Amino acid sequence: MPFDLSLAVAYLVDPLHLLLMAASVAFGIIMGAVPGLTSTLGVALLLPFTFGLDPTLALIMLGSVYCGGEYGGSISAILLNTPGTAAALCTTFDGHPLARQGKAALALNASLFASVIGGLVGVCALFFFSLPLAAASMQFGACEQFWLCVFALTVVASLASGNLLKGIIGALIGLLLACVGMDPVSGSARLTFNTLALAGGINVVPTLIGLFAIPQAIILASSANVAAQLAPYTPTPGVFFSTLRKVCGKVKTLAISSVVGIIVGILPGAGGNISSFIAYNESRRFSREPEKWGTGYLEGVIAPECSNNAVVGGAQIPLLTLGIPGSAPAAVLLGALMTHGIKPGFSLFTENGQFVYTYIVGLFVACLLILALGSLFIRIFAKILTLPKIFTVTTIFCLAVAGSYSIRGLSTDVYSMLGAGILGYGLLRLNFNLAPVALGLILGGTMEEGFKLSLLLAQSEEHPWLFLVSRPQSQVLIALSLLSVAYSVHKERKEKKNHARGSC
Amino acid sequence: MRAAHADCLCALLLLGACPVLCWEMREVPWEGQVFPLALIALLAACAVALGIRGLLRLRRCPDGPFRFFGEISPQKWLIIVLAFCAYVVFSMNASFLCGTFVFAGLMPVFLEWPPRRKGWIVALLYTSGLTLFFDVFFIRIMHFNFPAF
Repeated sequence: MPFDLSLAVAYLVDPLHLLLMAASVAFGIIMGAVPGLTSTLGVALLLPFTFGLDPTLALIMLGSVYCGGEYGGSISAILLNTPGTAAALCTTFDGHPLARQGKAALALNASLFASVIGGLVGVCALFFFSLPLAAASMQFGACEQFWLCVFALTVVASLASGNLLKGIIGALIGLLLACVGMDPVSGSARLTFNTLALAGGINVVPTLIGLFAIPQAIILASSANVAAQLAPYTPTPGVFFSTLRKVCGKVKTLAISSVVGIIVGILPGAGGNISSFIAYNESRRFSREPEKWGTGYLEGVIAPECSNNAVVGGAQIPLLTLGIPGSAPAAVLLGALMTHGIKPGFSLFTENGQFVYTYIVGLFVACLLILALGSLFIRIFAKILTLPKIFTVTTIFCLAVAGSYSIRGLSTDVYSMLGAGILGYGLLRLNFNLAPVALGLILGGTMEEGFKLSLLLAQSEEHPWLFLVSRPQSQVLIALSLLSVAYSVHKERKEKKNHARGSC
Repeated sequence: MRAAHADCLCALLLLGACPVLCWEMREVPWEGQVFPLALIALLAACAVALGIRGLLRLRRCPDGPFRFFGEISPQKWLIIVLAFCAYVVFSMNASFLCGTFVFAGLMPVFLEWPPRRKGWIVALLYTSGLTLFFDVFFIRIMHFNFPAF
């Protein structure tokens, strides 16, 4: 594998690169910390700004926003009792009680150290596990490419929304959006409604910006004038190192949470919100004092924070090796990879080994930058939470317009963003999750390519349609897809029964 | 309107959209049709399932109200959305920087920013700063040719 660690380090310690990474991490922390904003939105908003840059630096900056965003959610969870991101919900259980006891500095530092440790373990997993999985992907042909996309969409549809039917409808809408434009085989216009602007297809990046930024900005506008009330936060001397010693002593919790984070991260669409819940529950189960959890127990902060940051590395294992994102921000990262002309898979590791490993080492550095920025500027990040959201809302609207236009310099992209924003708001209000829509849009091209290639290959077969399901690799992927759907149906029925007992 | 009503309405909309989408595919050769048509068929099936589920939910256990506008009043929601649409159209056809300045300046008015003197000064400073940032970063550094008067 052509990879030179010294070249990667030399690239990353360039002052300009370090500065841009630090700025991206800070941007990610702010996006994660402000309730209502997410790391997905942060990655989507920063994406157009990275087009003029070297792809390696561009990807590292986007990865840094993702890392920063996962940590940032804990700041508002601890100080406001409002999770900045869904993944930080569990952090409120023990983080805010600690803050109310006057131990906000302890909770914030514990979340910082746990996030950094989880992030580093996740990146290590990405470093060591991605190549074997990429090599396994060499067994995949056109059929498997199609079924892999189906598997990813079914898992995202079932896990991301909690409502399988709406998740599948969302994924189908995304796939249909990806079909708009010229048919790659015949060259005829599809679903364009005789509009010249749609003939080139729907550009993924502005659509992602619209889907994730505009609905969130409109929703945030409802509470735009409300300034948040923070829990008292007074850093005491020596708390930094004493917390570090305490966190490092919780090896069992850190190990459980990291492993949970990596495994959940690898599952398409599961993300930090699911991993933090599992890590919290599992760590409490193995704890010597489970009764203290939820009352301001330090391990209750460490477990979810370590886990949701380990997801960052885990989610990128299937992203880089199979082109299947493990979480919503990873889906936007996949869009970024495609926009920069980089195709995930085994060839990425063989032909662009230096690029991919520099990116992974860059994520490692980003985790260390979180430690530096989190310890030095935590007061500033906390202060940002008290600003009225009116400025955030306006900035998101303006950045969405400027970012969409700057991709290709076409007003069509801005109108796509606007349309996607309105569609996204409607879907969000109808209780649809936007992650399956985004993933459908991103994977649509790959899925159709796999489908058509399979049909072409099957023409020589006696039963062409059976060719799609005849290979053992395809059968495994079909079984996994069915399993994820069956699990989701079972879960929904169980929840419905519980709900019926409670309300009707 | 209840959430189940919204689901039924959504199912109707999707079912209505399916024939339109199929009609759009009429001149496309078979190779280009097969994948989108399969998706449309699946979408129609899912829409039917969503509609049936919505109707069953209406009968069995009526759920909470459906709020399209969320926590804000419909008037304010419409004003914000229309202002954003106007900003997009103005920015793409007239002047991006003027559009940004006016939009960022009007947002505090639309969102009923507390009319205190200090607050308005902060809002004005923010509006000027944001416009300046766009001018410096996008136009002078990145050299994007935004529409301008």
